[in-house]
Amino acid sequence: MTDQKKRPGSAALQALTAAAMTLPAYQAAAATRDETTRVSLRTALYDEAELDPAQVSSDTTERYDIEVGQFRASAPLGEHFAVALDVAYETMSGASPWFVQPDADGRPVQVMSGATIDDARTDILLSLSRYNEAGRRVSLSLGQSTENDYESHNLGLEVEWEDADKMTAYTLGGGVSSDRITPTDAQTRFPSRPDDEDKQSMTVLGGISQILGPKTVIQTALSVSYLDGYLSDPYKLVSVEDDLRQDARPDGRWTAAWTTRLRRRYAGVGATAHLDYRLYGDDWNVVSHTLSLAWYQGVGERLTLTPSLRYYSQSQAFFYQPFFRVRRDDNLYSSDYRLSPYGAVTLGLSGEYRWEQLSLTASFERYDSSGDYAVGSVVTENPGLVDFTVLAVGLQYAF
Amino acid sequence: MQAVEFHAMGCPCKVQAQTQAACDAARRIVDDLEARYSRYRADSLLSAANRSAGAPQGWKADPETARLLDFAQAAYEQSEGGFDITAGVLRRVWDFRSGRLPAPDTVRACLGDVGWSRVGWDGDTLHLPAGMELDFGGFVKEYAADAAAAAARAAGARHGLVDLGGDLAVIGPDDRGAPWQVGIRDPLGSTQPVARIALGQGGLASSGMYERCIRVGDRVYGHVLDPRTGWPPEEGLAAVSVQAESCLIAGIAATVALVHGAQTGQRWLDQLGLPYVTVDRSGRRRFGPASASDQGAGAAGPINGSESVPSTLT
Repeated sequence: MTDQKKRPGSAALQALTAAAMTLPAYQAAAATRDETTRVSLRTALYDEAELDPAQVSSDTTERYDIEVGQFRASAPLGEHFAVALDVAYETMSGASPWFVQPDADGRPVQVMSGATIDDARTDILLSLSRYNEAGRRVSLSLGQSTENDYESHNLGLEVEWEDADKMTAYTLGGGVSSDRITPTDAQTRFPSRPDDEDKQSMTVLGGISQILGPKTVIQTALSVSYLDGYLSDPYKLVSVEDDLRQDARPDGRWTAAWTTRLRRRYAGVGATAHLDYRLYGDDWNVVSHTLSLAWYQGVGERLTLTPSLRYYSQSQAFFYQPFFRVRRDDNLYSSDYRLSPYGAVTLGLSGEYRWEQLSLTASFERYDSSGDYAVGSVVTENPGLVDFTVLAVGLQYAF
Repeated sequence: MQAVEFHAMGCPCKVQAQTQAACDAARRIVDDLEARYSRYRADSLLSAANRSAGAPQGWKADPETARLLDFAQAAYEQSEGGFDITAGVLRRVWDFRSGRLPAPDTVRACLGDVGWSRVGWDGDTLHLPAGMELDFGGFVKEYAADAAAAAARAAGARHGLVDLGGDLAVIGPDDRGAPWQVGIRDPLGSTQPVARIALGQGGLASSGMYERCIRVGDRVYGHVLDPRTGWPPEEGLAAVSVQAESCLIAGIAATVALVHGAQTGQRWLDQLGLPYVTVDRSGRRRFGPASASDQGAGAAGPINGSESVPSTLT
């Protein structure tokens, strides 16, 4: 069946195939319940690379290591419902960037937090979905995230439905979250560090998924969020006129993200290409572009290998500088590398091996960030930019 | 591997899949499609469409029926009228149980109610002339096999096979990850399969000419009628099996090949370029497709099973 296109009469086959592909049976329904009960376990090691000693003016150049354990179970429930439970437990240890100061030559150097930070986080997310015969799904999710110094609760609602011809599917959703931050050692060792803050967020999102042909699907979605409250990092300081003060950000942030995903199947070589682009902007002046390409290559009936490449670039927040020679009128200051201008490249390789009801996954990812990777030119790179690797293995069982 | 066996669309059906839920989901689709498109059920959508014959306002099709009618129209056009969902009325004059041929005049008269080109179809509303009726029997079983396989996959199955009376749609490879080994039944009745095919994806459909036939002297009149003449082809193939990316396409390819008769049918199959096996009345097998250069020269070769379809044709 590989040489159909060369045959003179295959126009007939193509016409028949084109007509067939508009039939519902040949389209993946947008909202079909997974009738299988699944349980999966995954563990990941996230390892931040040491900083360049030349750019650090403290004893340690070590950064964070995070160990992650994840459990997920999902199952159909009754005639129309499905439930899923996600639990993640992470332990973090290491040092994190504290503040940036100028060295004798006026170049920024990173000062790391002195003591090793040890923390653990538990995330729990429970979701309940209802599916109806017309291919509509309504999902409600409840989540909680707990750390020593942090507690977050969130609630989400999402509706998905499709046109009768199943060529187009729509998603509308929204969510709210409420976080409480109680930084450690506040007011004792670090008198300027706040001891009890909170923030709230609201998100609305809408998306359309369109089948463009038998082998191509495009999905586009827009999400808008507003964050309100304490949005600064209580553990970071900023050098302003050679004084250190708390990281201070606006107490509101509007963000918008537009994501477009293209999926195309190449049946001849047994592969599917995923091409994604995300444009993000907020009223802190951060604009970012993310371009991802992943190639899902089937190798025999049981193995899928997926090399991937992601490029990221962002511009800086309006109140960011590595350090400040002069005060700002609005009293907003941050030297956080995450608000600095930079770019990043991620290379990944993952594999999935399926055997009977068991599926094994393994993945490796390497992330490098640098001022040189940014779309525009970055005059002064933040010395705290992070590079890391993630190694993960997982196991899934389908009943 | 779980299995469910049942009777639907006038034939024995079997679904094999990893979970009972996937089997049940597949069966439910077959039952639903039968309920919607059976011409034997007065409450089916198809019966409602047929009752609208002659009605000036026509009959508004739901989206799935509309796409099926679009497909039937494409099949009519591509086969140059060899596939026609209005040809079912020829049953009124052909009684294969009686063993008697219809009078040529009655066939000619009946042909007055056959012809998709006379049906008004704008993609939304059907205008069926009075006296005409639609019959989805020529393709709904094959479509149901594909839809059932899709439902099983949607229910999480990665391995399995749908078999609706010998029309096959692959859910996924067998539980060892290997293609399904499918035997194609000998249309002339021997117990030896005429071919074995490895089916790893897509579908396989078979059509036979002489399950029911009328014999007059040397001439055998098979039950597959050419909608353009109202008669079986003069020199028909005994059976055709075709492998394609879907059972639906495979079914159309096989049916049209039978309608066209031995020579034209063979050419139609070679032009489509889909793997096939034909058996003529003397039992001679032919594998295709013949390559473009030797089309019509009758080149034979095995069906390429490296990237294809399903299981046992019973």
